[in-house]
Amino acid sequence: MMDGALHDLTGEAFRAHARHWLAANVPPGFLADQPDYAPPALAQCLAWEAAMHRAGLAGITWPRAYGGHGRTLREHLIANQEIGRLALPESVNSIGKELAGPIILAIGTEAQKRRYLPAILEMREIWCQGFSEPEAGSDLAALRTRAVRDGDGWRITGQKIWTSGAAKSQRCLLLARTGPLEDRHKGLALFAVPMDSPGIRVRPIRQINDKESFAEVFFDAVPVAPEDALGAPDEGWNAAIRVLAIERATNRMYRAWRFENELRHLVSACRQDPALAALLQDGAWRQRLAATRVDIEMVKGHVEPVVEALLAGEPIGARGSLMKLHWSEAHQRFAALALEMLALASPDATPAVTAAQKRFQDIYLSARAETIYAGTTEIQLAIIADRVLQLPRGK
Amino acid sequence: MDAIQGGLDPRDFAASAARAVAACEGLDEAACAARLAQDGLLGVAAPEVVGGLALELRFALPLLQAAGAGDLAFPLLETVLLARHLAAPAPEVAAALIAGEARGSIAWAGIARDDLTGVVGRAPMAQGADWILVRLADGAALLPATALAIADSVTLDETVPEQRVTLSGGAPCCQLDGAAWAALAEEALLLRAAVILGAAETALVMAVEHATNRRQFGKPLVANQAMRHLLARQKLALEGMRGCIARATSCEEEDAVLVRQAAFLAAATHGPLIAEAAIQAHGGMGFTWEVPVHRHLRRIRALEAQGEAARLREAVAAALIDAN
Repeated sequence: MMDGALHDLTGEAFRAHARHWLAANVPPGFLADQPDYAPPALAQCLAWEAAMHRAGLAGITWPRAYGGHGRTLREHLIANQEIGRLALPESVNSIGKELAGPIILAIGTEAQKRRYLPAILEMREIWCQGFSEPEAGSDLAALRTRAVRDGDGWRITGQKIWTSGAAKSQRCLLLARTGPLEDRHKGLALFAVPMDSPGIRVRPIRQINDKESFAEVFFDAVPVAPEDALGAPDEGWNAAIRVLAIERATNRMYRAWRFENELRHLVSACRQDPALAALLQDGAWRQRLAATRVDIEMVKGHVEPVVEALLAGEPIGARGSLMKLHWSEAHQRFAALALEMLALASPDATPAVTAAQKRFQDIYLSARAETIYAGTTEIQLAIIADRVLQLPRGK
Repeated sequence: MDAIQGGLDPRDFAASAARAVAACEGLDEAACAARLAQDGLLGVAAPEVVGGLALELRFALPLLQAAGAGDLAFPLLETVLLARHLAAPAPEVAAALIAGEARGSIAWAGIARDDLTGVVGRAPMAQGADWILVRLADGAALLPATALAIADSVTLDETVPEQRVTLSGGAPCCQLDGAAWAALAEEALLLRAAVILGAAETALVMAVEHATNRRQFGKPLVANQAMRHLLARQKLALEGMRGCIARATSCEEEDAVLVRQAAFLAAATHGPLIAEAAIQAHGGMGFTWEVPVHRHLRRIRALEAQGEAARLREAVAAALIDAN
């Protein structure tokens, strides 16, 4: 489709474009609910995501000057609904697209926006997130990684952990301290550190789902050029906090629709196996399946008001915490249900059923992280208590 | 769908609905009807020809939510639906309901025989009603209360008590066909969700107030993380319910029926838990008749039963399994 025509599509016409383009262009083997599924290699993912961007399905709300499509959050939601309906692989550059990019848009210089943003959307630069540290998990203000002045630039020394995708990334969105540890939130600064800089060492960490996507990253007096500092100390972090509150509500907006795809896959897999098909006639299992279906609608019910509020220019406050918390716990409940059901398959299950068993084992294990990353369940509950209910702390 | 109809926003209704509900406090059923009719609220979703305001159903939601929040002692949900759905087949009944001159109820449980005999149940405030709609195998029939035997039944909700209705033949005032009954029943799901939302929200507000004001061990209860997390979880569920209802009024997706069912089921699943948690948060006070959280719990459980939540979950499961 011509670029100009694409930018004119709205509403259902945009949805039709997204649906048709995805149906016609998803590479063979990419869909985890299909019998020919084969986990795609990194190069395939890069090519696929770059193609999605060219088709108008990524960078949707970013300005056209920086490679985006200049659309509203409504088109972003529509694209995510269509992406979610298909069992596509997760983005390998979600940190770039959903964290680094919006922060750069908020506080980056014009030169930084032109340099970093198109590279993210075109998948030339994958980003990782260097926030958490061994001694600073939920309590980020305790972080110890230091940034000290070195001429016009900086030198970074410290250690990051749980850095997803560090081994395949070109840049790290790094949070470091410019003053003493006692300053807590003061003096924190953001950097866009090239991952091939001298002094960086990445040690992959094996996860419970047997993947090595996150890592420890060691920084030993790593030089950072002045043009790779994002905002002044304090400014960068404060802006990042504002962006994070919105991002928590808008990132991976497809997840309710992907959740629905997973539920449909579970049911269709069960129908293909005599032992599992019998479960589908059992009231107890049916009640749990229906409860999952309602949970999915509740996730959608958390997402759509956020989009409407942002479009109307209203503050969304801590609503992102509501969506994240409900989704992560409901998804864990569903993953356990799927595991329990599929465990009762016939011993001579068909390849389609064993493929489903593999997919849902992975979903079950991966879901353990969903109530931990991006703010644990306990942190989300604290945010809801403090900022949504505004409960007094009281002495 | 346009958010505004004729310059009105459903949210504008919330404040006036809350005032009208508050004004009904302490009034008997007939006086409630007159008071609500005075503001035109009973005909909010009924056509103008019978004296209604001819607004879309979503305009009734803030009203029903206010009724739940204020524990209104009136079968408002049934009256609003009867006024809307009887406008064509029984315009004089609809007009009398809207004017507050007659009262109606709907027996939500059971199916009467086609010869209009049998027993149906869960008819809120049937004893004061002039007209009662009962379900048939394929549709529903509107019967004058004078032709029915109405008796107390086991009822959890004492503010809007349910009664049992025994039919003994006779001629109906009018009948709704299967499609008309299905439309009414589907709309009832959404209105029930709104009542539950209102009732659950009041219960949560009361719990927050109590936990904020009550001091133990030298500090407010709400200073304890266990209490903060308990209340935060209820808020999470409440906002999920609200979001589902909002989706059901704006959604034009292919699965609009499911979205309405989900709005009720989200409310029927989480509403009782919120009210139960509110009792827990009140400690021993919560177990007293005087603290009215139990009234909200009773109302919510009654609405869950009237909407036959477990049976509806089964229908949702059937649709899911058939489609995949």
